Amino acid sequence: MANEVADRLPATSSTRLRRTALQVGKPVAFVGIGTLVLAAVLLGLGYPVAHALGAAIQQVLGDSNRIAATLAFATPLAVASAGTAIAFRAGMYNLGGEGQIIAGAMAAAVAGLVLPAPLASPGIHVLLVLAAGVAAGAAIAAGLGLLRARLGVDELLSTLLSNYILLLLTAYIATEPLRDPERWTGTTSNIASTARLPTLLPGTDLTAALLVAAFVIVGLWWVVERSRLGYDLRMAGQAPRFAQAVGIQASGRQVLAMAISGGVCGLAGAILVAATQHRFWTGIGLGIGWNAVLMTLLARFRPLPASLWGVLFASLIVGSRGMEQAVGVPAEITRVLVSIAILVISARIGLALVGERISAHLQHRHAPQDITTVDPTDLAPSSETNTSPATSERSGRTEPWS
Amino acid sequence: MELIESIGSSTVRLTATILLAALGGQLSAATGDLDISLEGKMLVGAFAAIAGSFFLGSTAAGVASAILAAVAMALLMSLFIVPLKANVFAVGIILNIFAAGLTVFLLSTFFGVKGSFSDPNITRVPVVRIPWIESTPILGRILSGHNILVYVAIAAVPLVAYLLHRTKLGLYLRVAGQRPEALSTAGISVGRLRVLAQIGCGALCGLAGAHLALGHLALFSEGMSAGRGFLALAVVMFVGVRTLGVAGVALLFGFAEAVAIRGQGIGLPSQFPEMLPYVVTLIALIYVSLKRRRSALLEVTWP
Repeated sequence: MANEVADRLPATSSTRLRRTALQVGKPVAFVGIGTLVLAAVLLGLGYPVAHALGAAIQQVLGDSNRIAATLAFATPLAVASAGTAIAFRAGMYNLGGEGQIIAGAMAAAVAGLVLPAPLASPGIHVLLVLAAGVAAGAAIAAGLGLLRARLGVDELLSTLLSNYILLLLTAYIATEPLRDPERWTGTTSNIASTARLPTLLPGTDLTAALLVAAFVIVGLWWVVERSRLGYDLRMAGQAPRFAQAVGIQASGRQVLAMAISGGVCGLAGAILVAATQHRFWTGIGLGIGWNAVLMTLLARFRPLPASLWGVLFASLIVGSRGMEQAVGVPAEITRVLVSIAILVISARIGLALVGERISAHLQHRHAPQDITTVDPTDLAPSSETNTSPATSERSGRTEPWS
Repeated sequence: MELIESIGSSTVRLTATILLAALGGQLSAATGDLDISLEGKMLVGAFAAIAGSFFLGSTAAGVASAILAAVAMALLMSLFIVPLKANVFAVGIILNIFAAGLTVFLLSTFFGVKGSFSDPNITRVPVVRIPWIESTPILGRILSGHNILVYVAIAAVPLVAYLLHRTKLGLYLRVAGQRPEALSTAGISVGRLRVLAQIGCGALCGLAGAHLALGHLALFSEGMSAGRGFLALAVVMFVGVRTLGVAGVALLFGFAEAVAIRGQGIGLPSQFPEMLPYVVTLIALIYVSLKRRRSALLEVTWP
């Protein structure tokens, strides 16, 4: 609650201080709770705690090569988190990051494999590969956004379903037409050397993807928080009636937000292929899209913090792999513990309030309405009132027919 | 004839999974906390079903463990959404990710394997042969000879419908979703009703998971719920709390899945038939939106 209130007040020095404290406090609490629970679980299962944690830290930050590897691993998630956040910010609940990432990766692999000579020259080719990823993700998300804007097809559900369809479609492409006969089924050949992002630190996975990601993330921050378009997007998401009243084409803006969101998620997939994997394989990038939704919720729909959360989360996953190698505890434990940590944080700090809008949105669209006849005068309050402090004591819940 | 029988029979079996989860989702929707972690609860239920029947040595214990595990998830969810006031949607997403991680973690901790686990000692849920129907030419193969959980799912439809629409408790649950103040004024705890709905949802998802793991194959594999929880969610979004509608839509999705499985044998790349349930759901979603839009337009023209 305090967090949300602090954001609404004019930024006096004390509120600014408080806001900073909360923003720093959250990641610290996140890592702190996670580590404590992890230590307890490890102790309970009989693993050597200090050795395991030491190995985790060593794996994430041990030396420059390890740090490079951590950053390289974190890049796609950071990009996808920023991409997911922009759609949420505009009130479009894009749960299709998973599919858009996979589609972006496939498009990038195709561009890396089939583009003819003049386009496949150094410098141009890799840009086209990234562009292909962006285009694929953007087209899918924009299509689903259009269905939402024109026909009212719930994007929450359509994006969810699109994940499975895209996963199967790309699996088919990698198994039949583009399969590398010399590899496992479901894997394409390696993309051309001109299609790969150049390495920044020789001998590591750290590539120019880091620069692309930084550019895109900062760009998204500027667009959402500082530009006119971003203002329109935010109003379309937070106060659709206000947006309408001041002449913002809310639905058009929302489709655009979906396109950007899908494009950035597609870019994350293209980065996977062009930076580290150099080919498409079935299951590439699986889970990144869902993690990006988590980061978006944690960052309360803000692109830049979402990416930073993404880097932190990815570091934890890297750390857990180090732990798995050192003491044999399954790396999945991180995902379990991190989800618990996020649950705890979600209850403690503002996440409840963030979700309010989504809940209101779900309630609004899917409310069961058969209980009694509704007096039309009851229909008055609109969905924007949900974000006001006047919501009932049950957080995230509003009149279903509002 | 054989084709009709085999597709019909798998339709019934596959519908049961979606149906159980969708009925659970419906209970959660009644109190206004539509649960998007049906998928995760189902997955945890499936794992617990296998683990329970492996360690406790009986199928019934497996089914019971599945219910208990999914109810435990539901209680965790209730803890966060009711007293701690976290958001249902956020908690649901987190629980889905939690379930995916937890099952993989436990699979390698308990059984030391990655991917999937099965054991000859784990037996499937017993099959029921219905005396008169079994001897009927086509219907016999379609309706008889399924495992108990399929009939539980079928029986659950009228039960949930009765509970939600014909009992005082059901009325309270729906009022808790739509007019919580009214209940508070009457001195009834809204929070308790919401927890109750979540527990019911968890139990039904647990059954769905048990059916998934012990109904046909006696096997657990990572991510074996494969989006069926989301299909069930789609069902609830289509029909709200109209329980009989749930059966109809779930049957459509179950049929799509049955055709998909059958279609894998005819030479098409397996991915295309597998896509069918999701594509059908998406088309249904578009169709429903179009219809709603049209009726909205009609309302404008006929005030």
